[in-house]
Amino acid sequence: MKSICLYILIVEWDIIIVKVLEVRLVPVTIDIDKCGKIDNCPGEGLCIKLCEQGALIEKDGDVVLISENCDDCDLCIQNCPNQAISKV
Amino acid sequence: MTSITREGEENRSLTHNNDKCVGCGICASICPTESIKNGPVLPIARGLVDMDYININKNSCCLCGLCASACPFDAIEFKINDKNIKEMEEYPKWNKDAEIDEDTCIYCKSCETACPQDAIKVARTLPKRENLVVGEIDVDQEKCINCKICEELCPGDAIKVKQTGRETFETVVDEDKCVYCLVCKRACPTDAIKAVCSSCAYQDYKLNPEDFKTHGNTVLNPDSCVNCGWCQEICPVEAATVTKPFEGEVSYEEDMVCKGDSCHACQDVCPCNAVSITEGHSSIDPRFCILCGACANVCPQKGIIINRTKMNLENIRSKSWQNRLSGLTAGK
Repeated sequence: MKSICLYILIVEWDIIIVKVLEVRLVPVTIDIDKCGKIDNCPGEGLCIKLCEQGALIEKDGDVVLISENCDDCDLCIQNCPNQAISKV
Repeated sequence: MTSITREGEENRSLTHNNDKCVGCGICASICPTESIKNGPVLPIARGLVDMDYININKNSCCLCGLCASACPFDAIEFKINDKNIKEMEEYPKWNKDAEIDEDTCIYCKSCETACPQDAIKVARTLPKRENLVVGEIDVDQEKCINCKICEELCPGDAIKVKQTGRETFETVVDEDKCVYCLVCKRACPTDAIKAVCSSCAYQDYKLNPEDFKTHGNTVLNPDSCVNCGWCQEICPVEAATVTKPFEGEVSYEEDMVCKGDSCHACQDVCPCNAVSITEGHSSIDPRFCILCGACANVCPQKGIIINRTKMNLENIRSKSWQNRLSGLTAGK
């Protein structure tokens, strides 16, 4: 639970930066309520496997977004079995 | 492999063969009861998930057979009283085809290499080398000093200097491999090799042009062929003819931002090897595209437009089937 809270904080912190700098630093966002993480994902982390840019990586069973690697191709958005990924 | 069977006045069965399916979505788009849904086509094509390309709702499927008739890949088989509707005169027939003319084919294997579905197999017998060149060669073992210069030089690997005893050697020429190029004769320091090339000296005399021919047979497997046109385009002697299932054109949305190498979803699902990523943008070669629409379905940018003008499906007797199928050619 602690790690989830920390994650939310990071996401919010990113959004704050977005607002301050008016630069889109988060090309896609992962809705952590919908995301089943790797364990409960029907595609067993399908977004990570689909992303060839290394923008979505696995860390301790969770999906982590590396914004600077994202090329905005939307493959993860289109193919997420939980519809957990979207654009800001 | 999904199978739906229902028994009544007639026994009807519908079978989906996932090995032939490419996930183009044509069946899903024409199903009158919306019983067919595409699965995650790109992850399946990339081998990331093990699922069928389509899901058929067994409860709502009305077993009409429209999907089986419209599938350009013959991935859905529909039978009435154990008889395939493709063999029944009341049902539509595809006019798509691919053929390789045996009489014209020169067995070069270009089509076998190019076929994206490995549907073509070429078996060939090459002419015998001895029928292509005539000559004589002999090694004077008395003069031969076993220096092996001939063995090292021979481009056909036809000469071997064999040790037959502690100090005895024999230089042996394999006449099946020798083409009488005379390199050994010229290089021999002791003039031990006598050789003559008759076909060089007297042109083609003694040779029969019939013996020069490569024989074989080229088999095109209609079960795996997708009528993409690769064989027709690549054949140097125009032995292959292909009739595609649809006519029309494929294009891109003007404002489409293609992500090229980052995405290449279109390339991965194309059954025809018609898509390449050129200068960071998807590029579809119309010569090989069959307008199935698989690429358009998986493109996350929704940037590919399939515009079919004609469907080469004939004998559509039912008015309602005509209406339903006309949706495929009305642009997409």
